[in-house]
Amino acid sequence: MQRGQISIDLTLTILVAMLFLQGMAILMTDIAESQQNISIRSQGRAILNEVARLYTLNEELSDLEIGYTVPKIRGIGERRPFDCEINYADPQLTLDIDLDGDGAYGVTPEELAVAVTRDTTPLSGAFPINCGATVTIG
Amino acid sequence: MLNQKGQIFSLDFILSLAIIILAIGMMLQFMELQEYNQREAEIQNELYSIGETASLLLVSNPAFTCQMTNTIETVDLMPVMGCILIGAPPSHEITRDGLGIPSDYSCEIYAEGITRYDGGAPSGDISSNIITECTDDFGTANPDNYYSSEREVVFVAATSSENIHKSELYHECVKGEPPLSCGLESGTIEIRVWKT
Repeated sequence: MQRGQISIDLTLTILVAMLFLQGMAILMTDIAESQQNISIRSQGRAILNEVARLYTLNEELSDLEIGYTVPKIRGIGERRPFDCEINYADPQLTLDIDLDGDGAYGVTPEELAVAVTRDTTPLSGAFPINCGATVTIG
Repeated sequence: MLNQKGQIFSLDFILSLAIIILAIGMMLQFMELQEYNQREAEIQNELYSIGETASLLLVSNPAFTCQMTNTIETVDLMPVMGCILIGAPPSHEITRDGLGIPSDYSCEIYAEGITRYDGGAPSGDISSNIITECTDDFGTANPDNYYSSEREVVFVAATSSENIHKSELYHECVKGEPPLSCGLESGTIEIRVWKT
């Protein structure tokens, strides 16, 4: 073995290992972010489906009064739920989320990526509705 | 092999790298599959929610179900759930809004009269007599995903009146007293909803 051979091997190995770990870290971050977005959007869609259903029933069945607590959205591994807000502009319900906790909904690219919409028939009611709030529909 | 320069590093490294890349590839494929399944579930849940609501409103929305009145037909007593008007006037049309079906969904209604209470022949397919905006052609659309729900209902011909008289219902339909002119017919109504 020539002098310095081990050093070069070791340096190369460490360099390759570092690059590999860096790549893995980026990949894992992407996967975690993607899973987080899927989870949040899925919860958001479920909320909009339920809100659309209840408001539609209230719209068509006039003698109905429904009390409903809008669920909060929880992220994977997050201790606190995200604040979110439901808005309605004919013919669409929109659910915006405050991911960064700055009190503003659906502003950053990350927040826009997880916002969900749902088309409905014309609805009436007081919007916006905050997640976690209990509303009386009717 | 151990005494050859670089042999251990290269072979071991390449082999382990190949296995790791394979594992990462499988993990990514699994993640992609999970994401696809999640999106499919979202579409399916929305369709189910809209279909279920439409099916419920079809038999309960007072805008197009029968009204029970007193004998002299001056007082509406209550809407009758599960009672569908056939040949109804335009004011009682089964609208898409009345069923809660958004504009990006299509719908079709199929109705069939099975038993007439006055002993007459059942009317069979009466879909064309149901006045509705839900007239999309399911056969032509042939959607992969659709919601379908069939309910047992009572049909009332709305040619003379769009209401059920309380006394007629009791005496002629329930007790079968003469003159047996119970205008009710039992049957089924099916609604199909799919994403346009």
